[in-house]
Amino acid sequence: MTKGAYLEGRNLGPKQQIDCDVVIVGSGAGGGPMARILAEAGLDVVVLEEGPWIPSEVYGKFRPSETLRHIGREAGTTAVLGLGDTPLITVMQGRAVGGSTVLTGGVCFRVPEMIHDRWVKERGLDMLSIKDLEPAFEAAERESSVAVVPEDMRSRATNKWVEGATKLGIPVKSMSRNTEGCVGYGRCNFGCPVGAKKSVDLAYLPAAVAAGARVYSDCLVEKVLTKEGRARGVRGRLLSARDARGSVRRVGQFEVLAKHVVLAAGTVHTPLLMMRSGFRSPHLGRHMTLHPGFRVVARFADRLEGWKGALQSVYVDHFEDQGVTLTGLFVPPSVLAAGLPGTGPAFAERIQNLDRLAIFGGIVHDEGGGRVHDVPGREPLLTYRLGAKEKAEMIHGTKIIAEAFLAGGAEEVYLPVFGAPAMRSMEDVGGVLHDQLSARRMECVTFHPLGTCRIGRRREEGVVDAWGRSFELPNLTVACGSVFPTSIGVNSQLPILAMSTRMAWRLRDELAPRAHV
Amino acid sequence: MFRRGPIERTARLGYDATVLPGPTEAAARALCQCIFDRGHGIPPDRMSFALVDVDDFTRRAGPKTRFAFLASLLLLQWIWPLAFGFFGRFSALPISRRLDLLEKIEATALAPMLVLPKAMLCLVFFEHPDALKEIGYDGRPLRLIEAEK
Repeated sequence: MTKGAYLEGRNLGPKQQIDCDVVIVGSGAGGGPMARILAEAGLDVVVLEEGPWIPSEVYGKFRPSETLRHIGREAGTTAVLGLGDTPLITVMQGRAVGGSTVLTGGVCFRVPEMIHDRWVKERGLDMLSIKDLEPAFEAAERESSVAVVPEDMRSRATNKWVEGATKLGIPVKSMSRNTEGCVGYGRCNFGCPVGAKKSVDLAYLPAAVAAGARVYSDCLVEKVLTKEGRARGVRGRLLSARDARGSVRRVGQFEVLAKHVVLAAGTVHTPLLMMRSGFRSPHLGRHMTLHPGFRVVARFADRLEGWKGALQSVYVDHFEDQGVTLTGLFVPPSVLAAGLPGTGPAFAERIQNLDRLAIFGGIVHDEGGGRVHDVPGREPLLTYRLGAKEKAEMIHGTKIIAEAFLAGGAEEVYLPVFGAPAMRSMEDVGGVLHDQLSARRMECVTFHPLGTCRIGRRREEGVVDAWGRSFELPNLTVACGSVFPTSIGVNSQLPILAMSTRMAWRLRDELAPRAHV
Repeated sequence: MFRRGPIERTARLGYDATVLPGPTEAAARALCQCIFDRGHGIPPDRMSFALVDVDDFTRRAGPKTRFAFLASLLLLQWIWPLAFGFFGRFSALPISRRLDLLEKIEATALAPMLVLPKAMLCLVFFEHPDALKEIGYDGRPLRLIEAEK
């Protein structure tokens, strides 16, 4: 067995040549389970991560903006260009060992039954039924310490919305999250201060390293190497730490030769790498779904200190058939302040009442109107067209949240609409949220891009098969959010962990058939 | 592994050090006054903290974001005042006139142009320990507080 280790590319020599059984590009929700399962099967595994390795004891002490700067790709400011009547959408992606899982709120949902049915009945993907994926979900939940958030961990701010929703007859459920020992710092998506959130860097990679995997940080993979119709490895450059000007320099190069290549670089960068490596599928980079997200802030008379409690603790799936899932959330005070409307005395007054604010958010199920374009430079151009249905769902979801806040006794409600004044009644809300509202005025964020290397039955329908195997190269697997055939309508962390787990089991059976007998 | 924090850098550079390029610094300071000043002025260490940190933030965010941030400040400094009938640079206007201008911009389709600089300045300004204290944030978790009761 090889000796596992975390290795920082910035500290290695200028030219690295590495041989292994499996090279995995990406160390997040897709790469983590792959690394662990294959390393525990006795395979020589190398994980390559573009971002730095930052131990949880270090990132747990970051201020929120430092987390964005050190762990967020483009410091959390990646934007999707809206086409037509579409808002500018900010995409949050991780760029560090552990990937985007370090930046999630810890929310864990299984793929809803209606989505599995759609995959099987409409897409003919029989192997993606709810029954087929159940063992993988069970394993992912076990490894990630998924548990229901107890009611006493809800923040007072969340409880305010729940009170209002209950008055309106909206059923609210307790959420499941991947936390163990949560004490309620309310800043999970900026790095848990006590390591209670079991992101991939804590739940999977230590076990992978213990089993012999080598995890390299600061390694930007630029090309998949091929020979005679097979993948033979990857090539790329070693990156420095960021200098005082914020730049990352090339400090060397590497080549990793492997029997099998796994791409798990996420929905944005996996298709980009494949395009730049000469893959030609017409589906590559297309069909991107985003789950456009929105949030409403409300001010109450009581002091709530919404940051005290689990960051996210409840959800509403009552409107799932209308394309909307609602979730409770909070954000650190500086982030909350950044999203408040107004300037001058009005803004100062809102800031003065920051401890009286509550937030609730939602996402809509969308239909793949996004695309990853290969353009010069490191980052791709992302475009997205919001459908009329999705826009109506966003407006509908925003109204529901606002109504529940007002029913719960909110004095003022702040809508995610640029230039909108504070709302004090549903008449006010209706005056802003109507069919004629330009989507470009809406604030929108996404954490769950999916579908740019989607699964299909054959190469005319997708980029990979139901086991993530490329239709173009037999020994290349894609295992990240990019493979999902459609939007799933819920947070994608657990579904990606489960999908990758299932693919890793299959790969283990192929590459190390005796390992788990 | 990581660069020194803004408090250390501010002390090293001095409160009046210029960190953002050219006229964008004046626009950023003037915008800070409109957003954060509660009538007593902004303590120089907090202003400097915000400007040093926002400079670092936008550098790390990459060229597209930095360009958008600086361009937004330049437009605010030179173009929007003229476009909305205010004569003079944004930073040269009295605060009350600046607030009138910002209110007018926020009510138009140009509102998103203000969001980036305002959000980034807020993000770093309210991380200063004194600013957090002022808004009642003590950084203590729920369970610890319950255990103390």
